[in-house]
Amino acid sequence: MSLVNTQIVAILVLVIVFVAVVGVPRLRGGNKRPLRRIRAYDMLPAMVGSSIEADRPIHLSLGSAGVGSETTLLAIASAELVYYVVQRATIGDTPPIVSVSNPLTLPLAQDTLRRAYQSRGLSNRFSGLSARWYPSGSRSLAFAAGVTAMMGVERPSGHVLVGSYGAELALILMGTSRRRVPTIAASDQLDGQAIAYVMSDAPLIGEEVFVSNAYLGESARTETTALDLLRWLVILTMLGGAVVSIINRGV
Amino acid sequence: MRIRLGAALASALTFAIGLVVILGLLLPDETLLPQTWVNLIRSVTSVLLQLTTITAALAILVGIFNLLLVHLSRLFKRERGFLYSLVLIISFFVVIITYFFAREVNTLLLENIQRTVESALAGLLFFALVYGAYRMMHQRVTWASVVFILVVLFVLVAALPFDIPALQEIRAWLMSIPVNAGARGLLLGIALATVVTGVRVLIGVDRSYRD
Repeated sequence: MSLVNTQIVAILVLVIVFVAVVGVPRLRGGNKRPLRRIRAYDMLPAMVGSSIEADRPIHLSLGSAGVGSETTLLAIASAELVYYVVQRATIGDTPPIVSVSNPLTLPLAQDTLRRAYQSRGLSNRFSGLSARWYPSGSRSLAFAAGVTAMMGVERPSGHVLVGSYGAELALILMGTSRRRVPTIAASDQLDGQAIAYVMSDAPLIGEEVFVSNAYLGESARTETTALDLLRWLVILTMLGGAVVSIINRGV
Repeated sequence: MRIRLGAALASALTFAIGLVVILGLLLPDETLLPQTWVNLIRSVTSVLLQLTTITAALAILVGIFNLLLVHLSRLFKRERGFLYSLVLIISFFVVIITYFFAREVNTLLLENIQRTVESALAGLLFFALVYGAYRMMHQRVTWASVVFILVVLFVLVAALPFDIPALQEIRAWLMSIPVNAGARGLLLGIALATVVTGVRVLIGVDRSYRD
């Protein structure tokens, strides 16, 4: 019985999100709503600019976010952010580097790079080797070691680490901090998120990774409007639940 | 408005497959649909999920191929750090060869080098975190960072084996109420954004289908 209830709730949530994504933003003029400032998104254009000026690559990483696992949608959202950064960095001579630790994400990273170059009419400059796989090993420490070694060799001018990271993020961020390189970081794991908050120059927190389209893209603020609506729905449901619980106890 | 055939096909395919998989996973045992339809949807879902598993298993080969190409390219072009690439390539082939012809040596390499190095890195994590806290206070002293450091210090001190019940009660309260609430807030935000992204992908408004 509880299983059926879970299924009904899941279907209900999907229907609400579908309506929120497709319908509500259009009805309420969602695309014109102002966005609150997020330091990481403010920093990105300057990071890309300094990468082009210094003729050094900008490093973007999706961590262990992987297609085919529970982090599939995080990988897709992070790839969207990578797309916008790479699109801006294509005018530079040194191509950006995209690192992943899940092999299934490698084709996604390569396709994102290809699309970004293609969107600027520079398909001939795209190289699949700009997307790199570093094996994760146990606890992703091998990935952290690989990325840290890459930092020493390629000397990236900035790092955008958005994806799934655990405590190994501390090793990477210690490396970027020692080299005094600006870093943006975010993780869907709580320990990784805490480390990103403490050690990066501009952390992205929680759902902020998922709204790069609204901040860096030319249009489409539908996600932010839909997210706001859903957030209010969750708040109201929680408050309603609390009120009902209090009333029931009183009775 | 110009609609590209490839983009439309990709969107249609994603939508159809996504819908079938969602139905297959969410359909309860007793529905208004005929049982043969339910069975068909479930078997198609099962095949699609198996395909994903097989693709995931094969993807490791794509990763290895990419790793080798990156390092071979650096080696042949004599780029900065090519010696590291040489070490990586030699290690790669040594591990492959020993796996087939000297399995004990392979196990020895894995146990004595790979695991030891990873353990050493794990040990370094503590220093990295302390360094992070120092850096945070050094760079930007805000109310949030001060509260963060104070809470971390308090939780660490309260975890020490001193028999001070008040300290441990406050620690337990901190962990179960504010920390738990913050963590749930973060996870809820990520979950909501994940569902929104999922629906965007499912209905084909994601950029990857348009380019």
